[in-house]
Amino acid sequence: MIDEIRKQLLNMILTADRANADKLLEDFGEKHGYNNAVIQILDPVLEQIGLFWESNQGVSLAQAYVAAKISDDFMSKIAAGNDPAAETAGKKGVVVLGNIEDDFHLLGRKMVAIFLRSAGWDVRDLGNDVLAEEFVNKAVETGARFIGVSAMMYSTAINIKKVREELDRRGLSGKIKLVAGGAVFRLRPELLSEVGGDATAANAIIASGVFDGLLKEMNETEAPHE
Amino acid sequence: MNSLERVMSAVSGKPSDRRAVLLTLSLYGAKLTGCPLYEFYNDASKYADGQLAVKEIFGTDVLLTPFVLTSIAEAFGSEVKYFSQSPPNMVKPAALSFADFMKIDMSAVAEHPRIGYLHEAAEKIAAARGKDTAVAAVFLSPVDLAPLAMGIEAWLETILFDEAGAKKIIEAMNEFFIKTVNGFFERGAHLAALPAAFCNPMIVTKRIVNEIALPSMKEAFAQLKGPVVIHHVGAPMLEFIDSLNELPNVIGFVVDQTDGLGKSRDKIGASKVLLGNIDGPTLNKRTPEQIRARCMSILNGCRADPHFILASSGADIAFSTPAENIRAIVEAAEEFGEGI
Repeated sequence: MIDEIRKQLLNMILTADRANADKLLEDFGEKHGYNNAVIQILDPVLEQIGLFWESNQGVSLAQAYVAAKISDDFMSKIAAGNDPAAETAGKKGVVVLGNIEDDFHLLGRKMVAIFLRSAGWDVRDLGNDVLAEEFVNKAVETGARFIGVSAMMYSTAINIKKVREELDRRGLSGKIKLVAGGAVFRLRPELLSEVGGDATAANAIIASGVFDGLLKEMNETEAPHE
Repeated sequence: MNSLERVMSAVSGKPSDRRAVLLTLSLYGAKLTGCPLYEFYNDASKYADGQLAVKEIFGTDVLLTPFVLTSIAEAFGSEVKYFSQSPPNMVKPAALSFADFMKIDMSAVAEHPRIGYLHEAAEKIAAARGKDTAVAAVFLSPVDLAPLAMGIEAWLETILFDEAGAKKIIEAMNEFFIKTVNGFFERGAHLAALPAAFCNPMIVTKRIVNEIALPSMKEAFAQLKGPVVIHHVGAPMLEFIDSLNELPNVIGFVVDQTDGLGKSRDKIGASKVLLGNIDGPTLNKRTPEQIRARCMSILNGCRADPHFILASSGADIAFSTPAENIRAIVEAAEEFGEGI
């Protein structure tokens, strides 16, 4: 039964049937709990779409956008309804997010913010055209261990290097991880090391998995040896 | 043989003295003339001076009208930000929804001074060099114009969830597109170079591609008074390039550096012009020797292809690219010679 519902949701997302996808999640949430709707239905379907997208199996930006809207619709309902599922929101920690200096291509960043929030991250979205210093200041102020920087074009993506330089200058590299993303990183894989990024995500949907992985890695490194 | 003859030889598949070279040196003209970018992108004479300097210094075979898509955005009423070393970016779209868009007076957009700037630049470049050098008018495919008025998100929202609204917008855009692109031809441009992203199944769904984008492009392109070259817009186009092949007036494609010229040729057939395969935005990271070797390898690979033009793919060649690196490309073409 669960598999069938997941299949239905997947198909609704891929055909941009937002209204029925919203209804499917709402119905499941009412019957089985909203937390279960996220864990058993929404998350596995998003993961599948993310993998399809990553492996070029016919998922478009538009379909990923539909997935983001449906996630946002559902998480907003949960938040508004004071459902227990909302209690997990932001529990994983703070991610400071923004488009790098001179970059105004906000769509990818907004989609990443939606998927991170859905996955339990507390996202502080600084918007477009954010200076390196502002990213680091906000991370220090909020105790964030992650900075996520987005850029769409090569000419602006190279400005992300300034965030790495700012982290180095303040001795924060290693303590605060720098995740760089945007279409250009997928098309030019060498760019991540050029800008000094710790990680990137092939697409917005799987971004939360990248942050989860880094968090796990950091926690393991910091854990006292037995 | 002059540049125009060289380009026309590639179009018709006839031999030439050397391969034609098209480099995206729109921005670079400002570096050559020392013109501040705001002036460069607002004063057609200053822009044209930049292209004439490109011709003088590098001897490329195709000159470009301003590759400044934000100029179109400004005509819609969107806000843009200028930079000192790269083209402007759109900061705030004029419309945030279909309802907002319908308030835009499209006839005023077509007559807007920012469109006038593009046309005037074409006229000046064509008047100065149009007899011996090809002039390519840079605009956008009709399905790619809406994001400059509404931003990508609102356009996606409309095209995904309000198909009737999307069709109305495309209808208005088609009219504007036809009038503006034909305006370039009337002012002496030899071809239109049109970046096209919203017909890419990596961007929109296949249904949108097949039922909205391609039919509207077909209708609009059929009414153009000159030939079209479609540009890949920074993303691979190999997977769908064949779907664009039969569009009216399309004579060629600038493919992504990752597409592969051989595979692209297989998909587009023997008679279309194939342009590439130099990665423009990273030319600043190579040495002239590396670039020359890369060009020789490309030219050798395309030796038997009469419809090939050596071209840079991707966005504008960066300000920081040394002139020697650019010169190395034309020198490679000259050294390689006839080729076919």
